[in-house]
Amino acid sequence: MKIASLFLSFMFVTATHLFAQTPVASTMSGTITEVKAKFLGAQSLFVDKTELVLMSDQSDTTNSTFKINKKYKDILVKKGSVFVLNPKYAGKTFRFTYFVNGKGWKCISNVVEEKKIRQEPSVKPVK
Amino acid sequence: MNTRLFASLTFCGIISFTTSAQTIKGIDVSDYQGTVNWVSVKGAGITYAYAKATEGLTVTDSQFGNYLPNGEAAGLYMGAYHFAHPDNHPTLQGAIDEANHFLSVAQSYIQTCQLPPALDYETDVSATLSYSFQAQWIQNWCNTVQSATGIVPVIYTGGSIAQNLGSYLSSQYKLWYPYYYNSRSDASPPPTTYYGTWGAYKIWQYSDQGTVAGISGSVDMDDFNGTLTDLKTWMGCNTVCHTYYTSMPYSTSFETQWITDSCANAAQRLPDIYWKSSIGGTTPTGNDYWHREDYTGSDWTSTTAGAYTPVASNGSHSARFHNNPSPASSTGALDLYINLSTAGSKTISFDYIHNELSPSPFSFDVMLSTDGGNTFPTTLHTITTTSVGVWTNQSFSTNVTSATSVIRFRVTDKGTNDVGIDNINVSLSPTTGITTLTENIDIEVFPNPNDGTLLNGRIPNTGVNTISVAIFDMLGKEVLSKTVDMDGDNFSVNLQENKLAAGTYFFIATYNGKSFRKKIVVN
Repeated sequence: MKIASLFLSFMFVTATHLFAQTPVASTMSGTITEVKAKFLGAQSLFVDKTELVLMSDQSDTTNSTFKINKKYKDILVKKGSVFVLNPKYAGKTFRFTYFVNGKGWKCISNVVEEKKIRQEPSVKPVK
Repeated sequence: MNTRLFASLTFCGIISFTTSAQTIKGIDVSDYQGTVNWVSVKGAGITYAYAKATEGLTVTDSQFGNYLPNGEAAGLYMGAYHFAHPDNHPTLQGAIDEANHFLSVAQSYIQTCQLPPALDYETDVSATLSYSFQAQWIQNWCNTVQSATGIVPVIYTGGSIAQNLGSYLSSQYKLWYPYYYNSRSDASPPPTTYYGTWGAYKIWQYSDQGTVAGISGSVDMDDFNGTLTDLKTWMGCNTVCHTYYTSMPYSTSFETQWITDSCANAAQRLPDIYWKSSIGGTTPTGNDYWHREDYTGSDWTSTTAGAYTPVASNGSHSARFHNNPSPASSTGALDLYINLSTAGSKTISFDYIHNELSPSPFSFDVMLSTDGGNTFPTTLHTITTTSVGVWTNQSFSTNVTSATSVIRFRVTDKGTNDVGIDNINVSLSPTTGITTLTENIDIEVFPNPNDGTLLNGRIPNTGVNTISVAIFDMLGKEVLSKTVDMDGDNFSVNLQENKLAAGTYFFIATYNGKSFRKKIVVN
């Protein structure tokens, strides 16, 4: 019975998301240059000149929990009454996955740090 | 239901809207949504929609003029919202200016039985403006919009702004509260404690990433707090239309945009909340409704036909009866609800224009009701002759003392040229309170009409060397007061130094505790 129920739930979810117009994910890379408060505890992260929005979890009335993958929950830290970029991420390049919400905001859903690839010399120097 | 699975799929609010029963679903849109198929939106179970009209002082949403009529045509209840910028206009006058920008774009769409106008207040200015001041800012915006439309706005705000503003604002303002859940399992309304002293939300914006047929991409989703009947009641669909009585003095020259008739649910049909409008007689049509003279809405056909010039006697606008289209013999009435309970004579004056005046079936009557408009047994004034194509002042008085008086301006349609009225004034006659001050045959003044230079007069057998004279305008404002010498029974008053504007006035002469009144006209 439980398995059947779970299967039906899965079918429902699959059907819902197949036939509904789900938002399309986009990505962009860059470094965070500025952080500004937005609305409902959300924070604007400016990546170069693009505004990405980090939505807050409104059930946390302190507005200090953000809807982002667990690894980067600490991407912002509070300094006084405002949020700033965690110093340990300063200057780092991130790859952001975002969806555009109904207000036209670019709502971040996932962040990964882009690893710098060390370039190996293609030709060995002649001794 | 597998909550964890749902949670992973709905992360960051990526969801289709909930299908919870007993909720009245709505959306809010701006030109970000682009072209919207409103028939599909309606078919998707959406009952109502807010559309962005304006932002700040200059921004007008490029889709607003499409969304409102098309949404209504598809059967949705529609409303307009304004995005506030107290950050850019941090003064109380700034709020009024923003409201006027909103009205200039949205007023003609705002009406009873549609969503109330909304103020989107989400810019956090708490670092520079106190919440007390912000509440005044909001109050000014709302007052301006309510005065113009007769409808109390709703306020969209959330988070800490909502919590802090609630205690400063009147409870008449209802809350439209954004609160997005994290997953399907959290799809329950926001806790009351989150929005503080508002008491309850009226609309809950439960997602910023909903999807609805007819709209490309994401859209904000809303949930009305109540049943469909509750929604209709809130919008005024089920209410008996209100009657508001103005007090004296009352004046209008019809300069502001006319408001919706909440009784008939028709836009731009009344000068302000103190008026009502009706048609009757034989074969009445929408053309028989009075409107401001520049009206181009659906009541009238051939709006330029029969128009009069000049279009106003005072300011730039007047009230116009579109007499031109046939058929004849129907009537159009514009009713002013006014409290005339104060004892004494009341003067009613207005300016009138008509490009022709010929007998039956045309007639223009000013009628009076003392029972709130149920019956109109008294005709106060009938226009029988006037100059063609010229504004002429009409003035008369009544001693009625009813708090539920209605002054009706009624035209019987002839189907030819239009009729205009302007510059309406209703006020206590300046004689009020002076028992002996009546229109008196013992006093003569001449020339009357007067050219505004010298007024001569005669009062027999005064036995005094001087008398006091005063002149009042039709609003009861004193425009001249002086003592003049008597030469036997005669006196003269120099009017030049007071530079009286053309119009009708009351001249009052007083001596030995007795006062006498004469109406004079200055050309």
